[in-house]
Amino acid sequence: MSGSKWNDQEIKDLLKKMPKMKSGQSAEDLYAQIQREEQKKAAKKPPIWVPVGAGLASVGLLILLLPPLLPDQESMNSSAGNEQAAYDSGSHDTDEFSSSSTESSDDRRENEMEFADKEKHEADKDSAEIFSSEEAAPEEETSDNFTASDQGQESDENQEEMESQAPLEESGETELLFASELNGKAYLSTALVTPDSHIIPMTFVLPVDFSGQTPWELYNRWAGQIDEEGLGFIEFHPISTQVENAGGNVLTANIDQPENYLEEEPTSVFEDVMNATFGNDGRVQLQLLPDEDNNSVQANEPFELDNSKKGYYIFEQSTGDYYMVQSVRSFDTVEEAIYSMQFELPDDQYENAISEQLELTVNKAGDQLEITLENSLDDQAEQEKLQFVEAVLLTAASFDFEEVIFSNVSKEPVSGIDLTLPVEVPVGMNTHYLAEN
Amino acid sequence: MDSVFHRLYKEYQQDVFQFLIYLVKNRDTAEDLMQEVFIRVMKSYGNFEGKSSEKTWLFSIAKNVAIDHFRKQTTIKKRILETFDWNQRELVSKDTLPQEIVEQSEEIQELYSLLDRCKTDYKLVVVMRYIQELSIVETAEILGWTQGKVKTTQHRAIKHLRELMSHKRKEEEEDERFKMERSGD
Repeated sequence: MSGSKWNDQEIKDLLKKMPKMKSGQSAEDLYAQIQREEQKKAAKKPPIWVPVGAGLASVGLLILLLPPLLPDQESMNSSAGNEQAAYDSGSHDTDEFSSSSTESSDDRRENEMEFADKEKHEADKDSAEIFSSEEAAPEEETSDNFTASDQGQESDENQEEMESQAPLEESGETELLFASELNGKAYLSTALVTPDSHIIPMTFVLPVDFSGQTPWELYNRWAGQIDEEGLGFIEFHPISTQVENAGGNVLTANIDQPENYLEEEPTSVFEDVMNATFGNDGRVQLQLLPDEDNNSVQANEPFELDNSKKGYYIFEQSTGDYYMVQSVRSFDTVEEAIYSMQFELPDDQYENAISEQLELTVNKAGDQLEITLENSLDDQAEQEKLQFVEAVLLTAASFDFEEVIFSNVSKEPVSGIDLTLPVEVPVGMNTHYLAEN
Repeated sequence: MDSVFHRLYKEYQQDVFQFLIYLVKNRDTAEDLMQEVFIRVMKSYGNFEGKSSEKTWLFSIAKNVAIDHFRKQTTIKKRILETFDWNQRELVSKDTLPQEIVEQSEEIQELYSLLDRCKTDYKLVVVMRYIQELSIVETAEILGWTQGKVKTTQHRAIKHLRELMSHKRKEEEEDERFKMERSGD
């Protein structure tokens, strides 16, 4: 080589000459070590379903205690969530979509209900040791700004909501989160990342009352409390504890090394997680700023987040458990989203939330979405019914509908959700409960 | 022992280990990360449908584990050290050179050390393309990038290493000249 200059080929040749480095660890040793680590972890942490089960068990308890206070079913047909919308049966748009197919659906497992029952039973057994919203209430009184009268009012409102909600009876299995289940609690919407980079939207009910905190304030405070590894996900959060509103619809996040997220991760993973975290209340822009001490990185151009108009699918675990997951793309219309949910898959590991065998019609009526089934839902397994209902409710929420009316369905509730009444849309999915650390 | 684990480990152990050790530059850390890789592999194997190759799927998990490690290290360092030199570029290993590298030429030793002066995405691409000898398509699949981005990053990484090596060589030549001048005085 002449002088001090190297050329590209010489560098490449040198790299190829780098020696092989070998691990002396045997498969047996590593396997034993992994088993030991896993046993240690299992001994330390409660099972994943415990917090969820506890929350559901507490709701179940409320339901058992409340019936004497509830009015009869006839009067329970008009409200949902915090913003109530009356159903106007005469205002249907002519806008319509229908679909049908005679193809058979994929094979499904039959033991799901058994699994859910078992979880519920175990959760009941353990409920004395774990977090429930009722138990947390006294702590909140000391940690928030609500006055006693505020809390009284809150409590009355909750009571009214409980009295008028359709979906809450025996809602033991769904992991959707309804506003009426919150009892004034704040919640954090975000997404977690699986080891193979799938994005799972999650909702964490927080052990504090909602007092007007913004999504980024909640994220700054609580994202670091999520035990991602314990839930089977990779450590991703928090990306920052300094997410702020820089004015207008621009959020800024001071993070140590923005290039870690934007270049080293597949960019879409980072953006999808941010979308699920900060893109739920209308269109915003997120700008990543270098940490104050980091002079080597320039601020990135803001990028746009908008988590609306999504379709929903099933992401099934090898354990038989499943998560609701959403499309990356936003659809132009709710009809397109529902069509995709029935006949398309955006990811090879997702499953359709709506069976191809179902023939359904979609109507829009103001704040309500009406789904009319042409054939019976009763042909579906209980879990398929629930997944169908959950996916439709989430999609309706994503398109800003307030309620869903399921027409031509049987009078039997689907996993506790009474489909003969307008069903409020959920505020979250794949719900977990965070305890104060 | 689980037969899937045994097969995957037997088939990919050395590749994954080599990938990790060139990234983290420490044998013990690489072995710890190997364990984490295989924990994640076993947890998510049930969801692997074979649409991508097993090899790229496994490497993408290894890549995620390595990036997690870098993040955690950065956070730990930030918490511990009041004054952290952020211009140092990620984690610069203070470990002595591994025996395999010591046995190589001086130029290879220099290049190995200079890998620490690369951004992590440069390092990932260089290790995947030239040390693991993965194709552009495989690298793109593992990193979740387009093939175009892999080519661009690879080009920039080689250019960066070339400049570092040239700079080092220039310094050595100047040192040499200085010594000769001193000895001639």
